[in-house]
Amino acid sequence: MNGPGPHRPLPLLDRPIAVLAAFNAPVTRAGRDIAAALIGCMVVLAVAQILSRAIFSHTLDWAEELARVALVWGVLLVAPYAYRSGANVAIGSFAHALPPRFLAACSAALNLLVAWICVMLLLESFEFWRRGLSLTASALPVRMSWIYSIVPVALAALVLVSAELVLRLLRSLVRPDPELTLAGAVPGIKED
Amino acid sequence: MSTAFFWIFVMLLALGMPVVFALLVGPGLSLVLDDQRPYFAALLSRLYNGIDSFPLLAVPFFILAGELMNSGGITARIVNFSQSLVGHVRGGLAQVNILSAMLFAGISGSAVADASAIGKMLVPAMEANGYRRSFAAAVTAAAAVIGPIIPPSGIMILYGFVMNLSIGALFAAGIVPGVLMGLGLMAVTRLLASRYDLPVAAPRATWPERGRAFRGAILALLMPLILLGGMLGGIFTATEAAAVAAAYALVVTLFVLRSLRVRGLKEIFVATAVQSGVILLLVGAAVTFGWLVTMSGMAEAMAATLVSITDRPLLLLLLLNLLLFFLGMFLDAGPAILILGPVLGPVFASLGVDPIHFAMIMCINLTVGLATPPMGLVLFVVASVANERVERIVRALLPFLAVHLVVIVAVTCFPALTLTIPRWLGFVQ
Repeated sequence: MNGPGPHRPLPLLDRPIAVLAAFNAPVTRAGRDIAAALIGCMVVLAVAQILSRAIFSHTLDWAEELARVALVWGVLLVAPYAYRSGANVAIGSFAHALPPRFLAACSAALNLLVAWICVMLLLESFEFWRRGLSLTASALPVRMSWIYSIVPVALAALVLVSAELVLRLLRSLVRPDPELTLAGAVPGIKED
Repeated sequence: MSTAFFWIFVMLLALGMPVVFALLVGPGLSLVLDDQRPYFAALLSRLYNGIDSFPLLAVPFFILAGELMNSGGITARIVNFSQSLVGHVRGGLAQVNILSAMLFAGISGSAVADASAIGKMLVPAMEANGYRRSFAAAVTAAAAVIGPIIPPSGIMILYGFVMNLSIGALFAAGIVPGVLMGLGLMAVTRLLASRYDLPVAAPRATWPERGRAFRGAILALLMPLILLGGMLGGIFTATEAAAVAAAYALVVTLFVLRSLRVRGLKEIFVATAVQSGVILLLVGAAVTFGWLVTMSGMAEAMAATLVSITDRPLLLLLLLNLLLFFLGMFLDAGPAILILGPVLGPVFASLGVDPIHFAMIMCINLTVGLATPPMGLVLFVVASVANERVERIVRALLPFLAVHLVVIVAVTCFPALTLTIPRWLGFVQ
């Protein structure tokens, strides 16, 4: 997204953006790659379940639960990448008809709201994780807190991504940011 | 609890907030403003539980199967087989396009995958054969809509999960409308072929040539049979069928056809992870939203409003078609199904409309919405693949859109079109 203004350094924004980008880019990509590997695990587990039932007449309860854990982990691991790369579905028709300045203000407000919900859910996630300490998985010999631990991790990553996007959006108001794109009216960063 | 969350959600959506965040921010803001902290605390666990479900594994599995089949050159074999059957008819390549989309629908379950796979192959071929590019793109878009109607179907899996309906029943219910839509599109193409003097694609294939094309496509054509046979034979569930589809596609493309290399798999798995991650987070958020719709009593209030207009279910269903067609212009099918299903499903169930019949009306309407502007994902994909302007494609699409509308009205007025096969198979009493 290109904003108006000359090409000049903005150290107050450039530095934190550089730090956040240096952290967010590899972390979100790693999350995406782990999620891709988990898809392979899910296929193996589901096929193993069918074969075990068909050949040995034995149901692998743990395989079903493990596949579900892989699914939840995969979805939550990919969420920060999807947010950062603007892969989420949005209605852009009305937003893109807005005047550029109004669109930028609207984008900033919406992204702040996304950041707010991520922070609120992150705060709730600690209690959610704590509840898992007293629960054991039904077919796996682990505490649910191990499984739930992905929730605060993913939400923390989402908060960091939203912080980067808000700062980039602010910077784009005074200096063009060719990497910035819009999913609806919420910014994302073009992937290579 | 107030219904402010719904209006905040609508406003955020219109302003361009991604659907997944609007589904969470709307309720979140509303609950904080209403000082409903206990409900707010439950948002996260609802979100988590909305994703933590075995049936939802079918979503990444079917996406993976489609990606593997597409990258592994299965599309070319299906197109070749279709050409041997209908390539000799006037407007042959357009007919090949539609028949290929119907066959591909039995593999992918996604309109976007159909549009991309078949469009890349057939739009340039049709143009080289003398078709206008806008017409070739319009045929591709219209036919791709069949993808999620003929089973397997991504949006039916989502609807079945959110509304607690049998996915097998939904799959069975989609067969007749999907085939009707395909045949309708072929009939309209035949009429247009005479009017525009469209060329034939190839001389009539001999039966040995058809046999060879069939053998080339047999591995792809077997997939829907294995899936439906396995599900109906009680060997595996709909979710496990999706895993079988993915494993089958992997084995066929890697070891039988050798059209994919292990090195190329990373890209396919990453694309699958991102697509399914985006969809499933949306499912979790929609389940959370649906819970608030129930808690707030909004569904009952909406039912009362609808019944105050008329108590004749058929008239209400026709009005619903108008609403869904309009919303389908702005909302993608998946999110629309997830948002509207929990709101409208119980209302029409209370009016005596069969849930499977209602599900099909929703799914077909919103799938057709994928090919209508301004927010038509299939339209955008085809426009990009064909390098053609959307407005030109839309103009050429109008006769095909008429077929879609006729099928929607027929499905609405005659429940037997959707319920007969599920009844035969024992899914519906």
